[in-house]
Amino acid sequence: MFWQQILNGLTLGSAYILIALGLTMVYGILNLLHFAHGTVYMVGAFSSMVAIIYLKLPFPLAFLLAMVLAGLVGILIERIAYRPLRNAHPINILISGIGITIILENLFRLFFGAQTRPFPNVNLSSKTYGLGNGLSITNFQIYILVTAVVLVGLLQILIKRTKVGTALVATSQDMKAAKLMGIDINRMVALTFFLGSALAAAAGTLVALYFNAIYPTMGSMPGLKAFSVVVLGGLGSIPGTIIGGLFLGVIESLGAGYVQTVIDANAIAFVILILVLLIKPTGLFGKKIEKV
Amino acid sequence: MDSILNPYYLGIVVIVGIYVILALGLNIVTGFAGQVSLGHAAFYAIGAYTSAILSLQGHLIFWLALPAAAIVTWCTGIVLGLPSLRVKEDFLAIVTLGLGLIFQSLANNLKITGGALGLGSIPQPELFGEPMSNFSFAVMTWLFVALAAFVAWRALNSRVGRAWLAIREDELVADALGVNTTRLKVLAFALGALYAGVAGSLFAHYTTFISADSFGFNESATILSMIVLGGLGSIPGAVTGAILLALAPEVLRPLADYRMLIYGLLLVILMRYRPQGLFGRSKAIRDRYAKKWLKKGGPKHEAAGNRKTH
Amino acid sequence: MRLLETEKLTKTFGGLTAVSQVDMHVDSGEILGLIGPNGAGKTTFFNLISGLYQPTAGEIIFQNQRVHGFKGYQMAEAGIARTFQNIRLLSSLSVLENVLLGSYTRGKAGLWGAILKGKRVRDEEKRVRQESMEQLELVGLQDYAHQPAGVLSYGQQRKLEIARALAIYPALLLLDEPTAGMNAEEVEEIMSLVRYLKSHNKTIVLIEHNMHLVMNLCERLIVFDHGEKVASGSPQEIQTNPLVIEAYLGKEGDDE
Repeated sequence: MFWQQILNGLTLGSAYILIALGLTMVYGILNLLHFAHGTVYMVGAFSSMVAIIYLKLPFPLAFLLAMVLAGLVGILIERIAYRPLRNAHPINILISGIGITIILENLFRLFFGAQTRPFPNVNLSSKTYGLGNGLSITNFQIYILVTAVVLVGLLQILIKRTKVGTALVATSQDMKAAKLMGIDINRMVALTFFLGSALAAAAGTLVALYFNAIYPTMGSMPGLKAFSVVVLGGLGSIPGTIIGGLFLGVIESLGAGYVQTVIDANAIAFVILILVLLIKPTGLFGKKIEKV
Repeated sequence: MDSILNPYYLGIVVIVGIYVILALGLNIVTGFAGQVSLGHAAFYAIGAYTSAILSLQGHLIFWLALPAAAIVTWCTGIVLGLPSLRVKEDFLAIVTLGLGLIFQSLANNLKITGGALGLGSIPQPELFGEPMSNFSFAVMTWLFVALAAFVAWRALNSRVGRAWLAIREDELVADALGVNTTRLKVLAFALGALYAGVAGSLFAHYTTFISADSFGFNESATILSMIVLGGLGSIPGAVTGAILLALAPEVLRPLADYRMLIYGLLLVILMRYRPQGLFGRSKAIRDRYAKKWLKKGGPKHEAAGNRKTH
Repeated sequence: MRLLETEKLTKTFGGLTAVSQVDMHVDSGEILGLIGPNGAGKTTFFNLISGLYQPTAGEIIFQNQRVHGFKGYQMAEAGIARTFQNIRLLSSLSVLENVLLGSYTRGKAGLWGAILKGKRVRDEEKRVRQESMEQLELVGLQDYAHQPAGVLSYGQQRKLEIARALAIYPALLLLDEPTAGMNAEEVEEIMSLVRYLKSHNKTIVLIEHNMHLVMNLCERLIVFDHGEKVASGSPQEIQTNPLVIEAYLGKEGDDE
């Protein structure tokens, strides 16, 4: 039972990581809390659904198309809601993001209705594999775990091994210096939003498949929880986010399995977050900042 | 007379008033003291539930339940503010967001709050032994609004208010000038919470039914939008912003399904074209002043000053 | 009389030592100058004795009291006021409000007092307003009292910072480059202001690059280099100290 909860937690944590990485990267480069990120996750799930039902694409292609589409939506959000406000007060940016969330959720509600839809039939049925000792894993869980590992790996390669990646890191470390070195800042920002949004779309599609549910507000809770992952990891640190995501997934899974709940599983993330910040106000991996 | 004073319109008047109180409270926290809270609805919930539970189970009359709710939220504000306000800016935004979700979740699960079913049959207030009419409830609500605005104004124009502004503008300078910033931030948090407690109590006894759905993140985000729309730190701004955004869903009602879509659009457009809000001091003006003295030679003169050492 | 004393005061950031084992003291009523090249640790030293940084090691003794671990507001309450090298006014508040903030430690009105606004609170408010106007008159900014602080010229902003610090009625005033960016006339004004304050028994420690001012105003100088105190003495002694000339003036040449 305990190990089963750990396994479930790691699956859940992998999904959190995929969502939270976008927030981390955006925060890393613009110091901005991207409140519309959760809706991108929803957009990803809906895009997959549309691609499967209307374009009759096989699941893997639909999945990739959804990532690209959501990536473009991410770029668009930055253009419309954040770029004009780059020097504005953080609260303005936050509310602009909330505005985008309201717009997107309601657009999708108008098009697809508010009800929860099942994920379209993609000839994938849930299978459960026994791992001995009463431990078992479903194929959907495997998809989530494998996808997370692959995508995080690809992201690391992109960041560490490519020229674009180096430019991206340079921009997030020192925007002014990067600009002086001839790096096109706006392209880097767009790239960040594209990558982060694509990862969120991947998570949205897989989670929708796993729970067999798609609805316009499906992104709001994962989006908010992803913030607690990001803050746990120390705001802006990719390794921190990965560990924060797994940590949270496992704790949440154990909490939901063991504790007679007085609060929803959703709120556990924030209880953990607040407890951690009480001990370390800059998150698990945050640096102590002292400046005058 | 009946048409103007019909229950539907009076209901809107009451709800708008409740939002004004909520906005005035958050304006103290975020507008005066500069501490972003995304969980203001938690205190709204605590006020509403406290008042409702005291009336339902403690058989307390409204006139005692409301101040009790205010005291409870004030204390909760201190208890939650002390640890939360150790973290800053973006961290604080997320922590308060978390507090909001935790309290909503508690309301949804605890037995005393009625769980997901919520609490019903909350008694309506009585005045001189008679149940209060919708009209007198509306009048009472707006008397509370007036009191809330007055208290905020007095607080702002005082030693405490100046310390809040100093924290908002430059926390380090406030510290160097002798302001115990933690204490003052918690004080702002507690006062904002108290306002929310009063608003919650009014809400509970007006609608006579409350459930966790009324106190989610959306509520917190709406209240924050109200004060940003009005202009952070401005009392008339908070009042106007709250009235406009609380009325918006009613005014946009004919647009039916497009209502929320337009609401979202409005937020994005406003942030882009009037970020300082309706009553806010324009940042553009401040920047112009800043440029003016920079041109007179901030950094340039500094270099000259260094050279004088030879 | 010793007003302030530091013993082996040290501050490190990560591996970098910004202030290293500094022993110094300030006597009541004197004007002490801290000089040294940029990055020598002077401002960090100010941040330590004004409580904005916590020392890594060492002691601070103020008015015979160990003030170890005091935060900025506690240092202000104890009577240490300061200005900032990179002017930090609250630019959207009025000039008068900035000075009123300086009088924060001298007020008592709490939140509920302010809301009820009884006679005591009204009297206090009246008193601090009056006193704040006096501080403004001292630095010649009384006519700007109700303008936003952001509209002042650079030199005026520096003076406003001094007025704000004076409103604390400090036992010790720390001025961080009070004449940086000022023209010759404004520098003279600051010098006569400092002389006036001295004649009223104020104790002042100032960081300054303007040697004309330093040599004419300060009774004693301490030279910092690489976070360490490398010399101290009267202006005449410092001027002829070969160590100082090498460490300080030599380094200054590299900067340009």
